[in-house]
Amino acid sequence: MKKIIIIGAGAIGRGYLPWVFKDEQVEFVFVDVNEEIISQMNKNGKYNTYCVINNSLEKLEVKIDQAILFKDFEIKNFNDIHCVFINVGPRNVQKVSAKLTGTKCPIILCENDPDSVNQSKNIINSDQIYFAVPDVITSNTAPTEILANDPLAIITENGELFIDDRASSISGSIKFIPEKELINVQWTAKLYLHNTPHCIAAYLGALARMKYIHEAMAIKEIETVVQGSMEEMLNSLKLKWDIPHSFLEWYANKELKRFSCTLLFDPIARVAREPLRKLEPDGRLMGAAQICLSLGFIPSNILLGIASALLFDDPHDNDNHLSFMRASLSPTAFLTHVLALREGEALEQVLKSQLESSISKLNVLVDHSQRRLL
Amino acid sequence: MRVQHESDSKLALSIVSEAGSIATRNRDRNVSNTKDSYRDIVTDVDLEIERFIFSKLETSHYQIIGEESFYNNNGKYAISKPDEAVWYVDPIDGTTNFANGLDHFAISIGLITQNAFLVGAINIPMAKELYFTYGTDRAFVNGKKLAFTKNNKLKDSLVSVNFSSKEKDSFARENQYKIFGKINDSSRGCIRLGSAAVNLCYTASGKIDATYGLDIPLWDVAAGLTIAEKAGCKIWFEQTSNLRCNFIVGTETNISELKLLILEGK
Repeated sequence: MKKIIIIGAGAIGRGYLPWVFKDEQVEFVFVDVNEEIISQMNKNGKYNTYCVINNSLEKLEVKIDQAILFKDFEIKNFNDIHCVFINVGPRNVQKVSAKLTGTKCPIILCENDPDSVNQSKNIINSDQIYFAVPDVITSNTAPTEILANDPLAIITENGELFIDDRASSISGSIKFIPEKELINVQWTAKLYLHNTPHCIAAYLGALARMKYIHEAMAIKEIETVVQGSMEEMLNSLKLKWDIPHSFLEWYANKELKRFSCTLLFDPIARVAREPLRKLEPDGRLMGAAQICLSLGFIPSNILLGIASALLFDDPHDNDNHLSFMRASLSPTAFLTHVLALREGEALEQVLKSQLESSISKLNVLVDHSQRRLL
Repeated sequence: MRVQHESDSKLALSIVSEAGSIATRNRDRNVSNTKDSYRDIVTDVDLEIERFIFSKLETSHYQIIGEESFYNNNGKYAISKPDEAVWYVDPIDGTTNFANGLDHFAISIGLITQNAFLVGAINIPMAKELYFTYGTDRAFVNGKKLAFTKNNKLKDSLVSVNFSSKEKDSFARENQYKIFGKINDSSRGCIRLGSAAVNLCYTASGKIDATYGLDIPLWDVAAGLTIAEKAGCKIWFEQTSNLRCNFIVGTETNISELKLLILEGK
């Protein structure tokens, strides 16, 4: 039996990865900071993950070999580990890596940040650390009727896991590709044709007081902006990196269908969380806008996405100080200090001149959508 | 979800942010006066920023003690109760650096009582860094959460010192230098940046492993200590008079070692 340690028992770790190994003989060890999840895992010894296949949900029962709280986890207590997966969010990678020094097996990072690999390599002092792109949307929850019988249940798509081909000793339903293709094609497509429009759908959905992504996408005005942002990025990627149009178009259409999948129950709160991370300089919103500006056009839909991210105001979110900072600082101070833009650069000028009008457009958009829903 | 002292934090952050622009626009102003000693200078930019800060803090119902108005008012102030919250304002902490064209200066506004650190906001304009507290247990720099998780021993620590600018008491001054020497030899080095606010912010953000000061005015450190505490730093603090204090900020381990060296030296 192969022992696989999954650090981060959330959407990817608990929901998607077991499907990758469904045809293998594996023992799963889950590690998480969430006491309730770990307690439930230890109590039940198993849980179900559901996959959307051919418009219906297929169930996979996952047996739990061990479930450990992160604070109690010690890698030295484990022998013969097949591999370790880290899916904890980029902000937590360093903390997790500190617990893995001396690990000899492959470590796979399913994080939205290729830089996390180098960070981990420096901390863990190992070269066997690889980037992975899970091309999948996984909720971190399930419909109420499923949760009633299984509080750990999760719904995932039938996606694909791309891993650096230097990790090909790992067995499972995995597509191993060279690192260059992984970063330049799969990661680039995921970042700008998935993450960018996905989070825009989430932020617009939050403004419209929707709970799930598919509910947001059912609102015509939101769908139009999301499609528009997809179009802006598709054209940009073609021009900037000469990625074949056929691949980009296929990818974009796939994404739009996924966002609207009514079986997925992907919470807006999950996709929209930590807006400051989504607004990082080279990330899915600001980075996307910078690419468009560098190619000579103003991405009006992505700008609406940036504005909607700035308006995200969930008091339970880690970044719930965002609205506080917007209220406390002048526009220039906010753009230069919080969004790390240089005063006078193109995006800073565009945001300064168009942010208020974008916010007005969003108010109208939400207002129209609320009226139609009523 | 109510955030404690949210309106005070908002006021402090907005003020230090605007005041930073005043400082950066006026970097070529000259020294206008000295205070306690030839080494303790004030520029007209200090005075302009303090006037600006006071005008904005007028809307708050707490007493305000500013470095420059304290000196202009011949040291008159009144704090009636230990749990009375007071704004401590340093319009430019590190004025000598500022006047000489060096970047280590800051605008500092802190709201503290004798028993608690409530609100802190510091702008280090040349680094484009805004440090602030939000709520009872969070501190940020430019929106990124500060989380001080270091555990260094003193021998593995970079320490920064804050010397008092008081000219008086050469014996106390000799002692401070002796202590500095011992700490310098027991650590990775003891540096002097010339601004307590900058030292405290850099410690809170982990760039420095510990910082300490003896007989330091509260306006220099009120905001920085608040930020450091909410970033998770360990703090040793004792008020030596109504407006001065001793402090050490760092890890649990290096604070104990520093305290020993300081108490040995006194």
